[in-house]
Amino acid sequence: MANLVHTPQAEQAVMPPLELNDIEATRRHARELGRALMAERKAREKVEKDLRKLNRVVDHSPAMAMLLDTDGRIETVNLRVSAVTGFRIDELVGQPLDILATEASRRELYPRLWGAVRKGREWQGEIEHRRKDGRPLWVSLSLSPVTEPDGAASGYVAILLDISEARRAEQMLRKANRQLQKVSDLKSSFVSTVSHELRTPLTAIRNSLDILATAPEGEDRQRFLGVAVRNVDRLTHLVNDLLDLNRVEAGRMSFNFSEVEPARLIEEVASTFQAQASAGQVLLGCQLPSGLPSLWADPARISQVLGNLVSNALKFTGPGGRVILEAHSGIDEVELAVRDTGIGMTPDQVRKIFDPFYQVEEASSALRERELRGSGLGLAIARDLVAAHGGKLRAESAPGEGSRFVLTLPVAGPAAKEMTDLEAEFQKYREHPFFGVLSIPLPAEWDGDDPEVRGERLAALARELRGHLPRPSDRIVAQPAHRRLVLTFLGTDKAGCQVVSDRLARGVAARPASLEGLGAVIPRLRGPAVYPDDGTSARDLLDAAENPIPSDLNEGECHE
Amino acid sequence: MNEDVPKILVVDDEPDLLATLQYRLRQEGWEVLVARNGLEGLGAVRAKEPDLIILDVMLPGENGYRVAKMIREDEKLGVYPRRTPILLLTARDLSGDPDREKMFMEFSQADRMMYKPFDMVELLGTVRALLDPVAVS
Repeated sequence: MANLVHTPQAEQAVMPPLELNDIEATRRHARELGRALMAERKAREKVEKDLRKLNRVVDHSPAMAMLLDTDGRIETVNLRVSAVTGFRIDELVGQPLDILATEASRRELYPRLWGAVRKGREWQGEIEHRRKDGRPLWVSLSLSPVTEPDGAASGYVAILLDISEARRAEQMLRKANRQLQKVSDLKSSFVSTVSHELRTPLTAIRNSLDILATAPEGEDRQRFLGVAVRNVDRLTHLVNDLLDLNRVEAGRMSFNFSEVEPARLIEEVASTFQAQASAGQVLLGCQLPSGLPSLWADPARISQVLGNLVSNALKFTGPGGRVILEAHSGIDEVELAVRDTGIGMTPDQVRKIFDPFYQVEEASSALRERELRGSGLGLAIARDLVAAHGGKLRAESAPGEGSRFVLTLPVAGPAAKEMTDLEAEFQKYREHPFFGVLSIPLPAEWDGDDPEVRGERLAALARELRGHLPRPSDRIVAQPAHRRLVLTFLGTDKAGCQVVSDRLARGVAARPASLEGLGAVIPRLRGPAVYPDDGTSARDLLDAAENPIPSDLNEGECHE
Repeated sequence: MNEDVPKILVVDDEPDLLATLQYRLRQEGWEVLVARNGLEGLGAVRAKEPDLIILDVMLPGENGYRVAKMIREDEKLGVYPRRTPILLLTARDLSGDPDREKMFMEFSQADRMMYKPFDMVELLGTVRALLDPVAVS
């Protein structure tokens, strides 16, 4: 760094008056002059050496330092300034200090700042700036005048600390807090609804028992015994559904995956509801094309889902109507659907239909009369069960035109099996205290890669991603799984995972070639996880994750 | 029906609750009318002028608080000869939250609120007290 410290004047050599005729005196004089010159050179060299040392200290300081002239224009800056802001030194020299400021800080904060400093005071505060590439740069700025012995300002010193990271962490925390609050509100409203749903049958049971305690033998006793039993059944059903919902949402439900013939599964479900359909004068049938591929699924759970959909369809379809089970095969998935000619739903009802306890009001009053009302949890459970298969459940409907519930399930094959194996492996690590999992779609151009090329691409990506981790202690394992990339962060909590997710999203913009497809980062926080590759045990991966090779980016961050 | 027998209107959308309440209130010798939602209940109040209304809060359509308020507004217009006592029944326990309970009571201008599941003896006692406050006190 040039000119940061002014060179002091060399000492003036003190010499006796020169006597030209005195040769001896002239020689002595010359010797003294030589000595004085030597001393001056040594002094100058020492000052220059000290100056170089000082420059090194200033340049390698973690703070950005600037010297400003009396007009507040930048005279010189240390190296840290260009490292942090991205501007070259020559782009900054001669510019006003607020060249880096955002429009708002330039308008609002800078006038106050200069007001204070011109009065000879030091100003300190946090100001939002912009880097050369437009990214935000929050700095803690301290600006003070350099005063001469006579009290006049000969310039200003600005020291700036990059506090962007702390700011960002603060924002993440606030965001995480808001999300927690939302979860807490949801939980309260859920508990309140559950308590209502429990109290209602309890009241009927209690009232019936009260009547049974006093009523004489006869028809009345039989009638209220029936009410009590029916409501005990309703309570049991509700409690079972609640436990199911909780298990599947917490990822604690166990699945027995196998290859399943969709046509057989559908016909079995249809046959169990045939009697109920006939009683309601509803035609229940199947439309199944031949040559459907096998599904990779837990047949008991998929039967449960289909049964729930058929049972709903029958409830909402009047005499003379039809309920049809159908299947269609896609590229690597199969669509199973339950279609009815029932009352249908409005777009608003379709939107809410999978929410726990949501029941279509008019329909549910009518069902209550017929004692057909369910717990309101069936579809919420069904959707989660399908999601656990790597599939999707959706509803299509219009008022008066019936409804169609469609579940999409993966076809049995290496990809689907890998996915479920990984899920099972994942379960082992759920109780680990620190974890973070991100699941992101794999870039499309990776699709045709052979395993070796894919492995290399993954290793390169992992190195790059490591550079985005918030803390040096964070570890990452990247594994492909069913056209997605699963990133496991060990030692990173949910908030940390959110930071990584945000950084990855930003990283896409900076490196579109290698990180393409990361724009849709889906945080999938279900528990600690390690997804093993072929022949690699989870333990191996954990070991690898705990002893990573530091990437160049990490090196740069730590030792600059 | 005897003119002296008090008429009680029960509004609830749960058939089993309606059946059990109806049975017990009739055992006590009262005449019982039933309605399955708020608007049906309001219609019954206007048509039959009951002596007491037992009103569930969570009803399809208009909720119990709003139905109670509508009945009080009708009364202000002088539709009924007297003020009808209203007993609210709710499955949402507000007993731990007196502020909200007070707010709902003030809004609905109901006389009492009981929580499901309730004690039948206590409910019958409350009904008796609301029907004939002087006799009970």
